[in-house]
Amino acid sequence: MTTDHLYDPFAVKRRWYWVTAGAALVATLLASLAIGAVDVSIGGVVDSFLSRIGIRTEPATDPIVWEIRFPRAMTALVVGAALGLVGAVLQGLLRNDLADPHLLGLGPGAAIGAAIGTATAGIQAGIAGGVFAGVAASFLLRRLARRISVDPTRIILSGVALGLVLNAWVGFVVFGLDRSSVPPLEFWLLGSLSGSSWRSFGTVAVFLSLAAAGLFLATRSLDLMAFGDSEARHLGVDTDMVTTMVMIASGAAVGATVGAAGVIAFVGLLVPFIARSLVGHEHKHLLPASMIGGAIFVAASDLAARTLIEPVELPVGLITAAVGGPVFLWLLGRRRDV
Amino acid sequence: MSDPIIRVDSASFSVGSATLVDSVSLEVAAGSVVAICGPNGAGKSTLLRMLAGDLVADEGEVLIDGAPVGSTAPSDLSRMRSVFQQSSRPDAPFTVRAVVAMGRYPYRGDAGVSGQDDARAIHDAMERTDVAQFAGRSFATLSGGERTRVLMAQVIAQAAPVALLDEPTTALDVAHQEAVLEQISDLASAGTTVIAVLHDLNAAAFYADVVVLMAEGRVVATGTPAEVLNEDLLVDIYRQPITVIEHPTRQCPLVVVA
Repeated sequence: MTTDHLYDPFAVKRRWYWVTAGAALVATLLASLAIGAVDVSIGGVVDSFLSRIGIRTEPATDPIVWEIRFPRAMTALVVGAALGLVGAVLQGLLRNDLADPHLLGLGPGAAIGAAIGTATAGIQAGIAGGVFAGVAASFLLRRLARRISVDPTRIILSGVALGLVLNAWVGFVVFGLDRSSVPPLEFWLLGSLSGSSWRSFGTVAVFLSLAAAGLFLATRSLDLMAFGDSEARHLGVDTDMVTTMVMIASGAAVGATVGAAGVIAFVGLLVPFIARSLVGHEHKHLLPASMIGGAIFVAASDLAARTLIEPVELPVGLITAAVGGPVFLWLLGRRRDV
Repeated sequence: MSDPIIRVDSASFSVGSATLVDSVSLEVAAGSVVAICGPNGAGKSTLLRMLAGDLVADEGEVLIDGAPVGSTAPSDLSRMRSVFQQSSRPDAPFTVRAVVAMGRYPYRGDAGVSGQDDARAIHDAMERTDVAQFAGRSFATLSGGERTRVLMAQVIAQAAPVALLDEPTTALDVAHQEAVLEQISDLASAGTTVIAVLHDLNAAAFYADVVVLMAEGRVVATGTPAEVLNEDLLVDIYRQPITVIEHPTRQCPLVVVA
């Protein structure tokens, strides 16, 4: 028997977090399926589900729920989960709450590849292109950081500079491509889930599962690295290898989200920040908590993006930034340094 | 000496034109306590970091149990030696227990080591360093002395055959200094080889089996405290009037600034 719980100041908070977040996740999903241009009752949503297993016949609203809203909501959930996860992982790796995949240039880098992929062969290729370019951007950042300094702050600074440069290139690429075959620049800079389908969801889900598996392998190493690089090495962590692996997996994960939904800002910054205060800093709790938090945040933001000023659909990144920014600032002001 | 567990063979380490450790040779018998002493800038910590595998010798070799530490994988190294250093992340937001538990990371996934073994090692280490009372507190809220004890607990939990300690008694009051030095003795009597950088020559005089006196990157003298801690040598390397007398209660030399 273990006595771990006796020493864990977050044990109670954590239990509440899982219960509340689990309920919020289900509620967000149901709301995403029911609310929209055509109102579907919760009963109609349930009927759609039951008809899949042959208990009910398909309701009239079934195509809206099953073919449009459900894949879109599922994409929002996995994209949000990935962004939350990558944010938490990078912040642990670089020991800095500022480490956000989009701020560090991984998102803009992925956007270039995703735009080219989409222009060439549609959204599936866009996702693959995003993954490829996201990994390339993370390699570039890793190399830059190696040459410049091992100091995490310097890595973040070089990432920010890299991000600004790559963002400019996103603009050049998108304007240079055949406009009719590529989503507009807003999509790449502000994000949107309007292009989601079951096929694109499947592709994103596969890439994200692989990347997440890689990131979860680093769970305990990240705890030790958060305690200090040399300390981690003394305890047997191959910090160089972990850093490379985490950055590649992060690049791949972010790339997949960008290919499917463009750049959705602030999720990777805000969600781990909140999760840390609720479940603690140990990555075995922080990583899943950031995933579920990110999933809720993006799915709820997408719901707002497509319903706030119907029939106009807002970019989801506008909502995440407009809501996330003030919340982040408010939390920063409240945080007492221990 | 029986087969030495640590062997340093004319090892040097330079940064630019500065030679921090200059052709040092050393053999350490298993189970002994070795104090590395000397003035600031003598190369003590650099030598310890070479032993830890953090720094790789430019010339010469550093071997633990026959394996060159510079080219041993981190995971293998972590079962050969533990390292104490002042925390580089004193603001680390982990609980005391979590920090001590990190000492068990080298054994993750080992078939022969159960969760129960880990829990027992963590518990024992916390009891021995008197930190169990604040096991649930955040490491970031501890005083410097408390932090030192927690990091010592981590070293004990890691249970490596060699413990490398960089100034473990700095920032401690007299009572806690003695407590840490007692833990070092305990580790050695349980078979662990301890190599500690110590500024306090009197701690070295009483607790160490061997004193390695360094100055300007070189080993000036190696031997028992009685052999090494002699007036002429100390005056020469510290450039400070120093007297060595017999300790009134402990049977060892007492170094006094004259």
